[in-house]
Amino acid sequence: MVSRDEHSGTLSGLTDAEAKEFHSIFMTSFVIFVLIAIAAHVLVWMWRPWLPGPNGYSELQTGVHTAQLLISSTFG
Amino acid sequence: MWRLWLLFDPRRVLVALSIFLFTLALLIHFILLSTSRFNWIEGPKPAAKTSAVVMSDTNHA
Repeated sequence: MVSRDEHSGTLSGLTDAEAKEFHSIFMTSFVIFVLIAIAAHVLVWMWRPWLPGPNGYSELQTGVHTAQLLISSTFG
Repeated sequence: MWRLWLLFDPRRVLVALSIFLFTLALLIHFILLSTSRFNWIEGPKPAAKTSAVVMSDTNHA
C-alpha cells in the first residue's frame, strides 16, 4: 500500500501550492534548456549537416560542383 | 500538469532527470568523437587508403 503524506495527504508530500510553485520553476527551466538545445543543433547543422543526400555528404559540400557537372553534361 | 508533482517527489525527479540527461549527453559526445566527420578535436581523418595505394603504384612504375 502506498503511503500518503500525513501533512498534505498526497503521495509526494507537496501541497497544491507547493506543486504549482515547483511546476512553474520546472517549466521555465525546461523551456530554457530546450531553447539552448535548439540553438546548439542549428549551429552544428551549419557546421556539418548530419543527414546526407542520396549521393552522400559530398553532394552537400559541393553543390556548386554538382551544378557545374549538370550544366556541362547538358550543354557540352 | 502541475498535479504531476503531487504524485512524484520533485527531488527524485530532478536527480533522476539530471543523471539521465548527463549520461545521455556524455554518450552522444563520445559517439560523435568516435566518428570521422563529427570529431571536432582531431578533425576528419584523411581518406588515405585508396590514395596511398595509387601513389605507391606510380612510384613503383
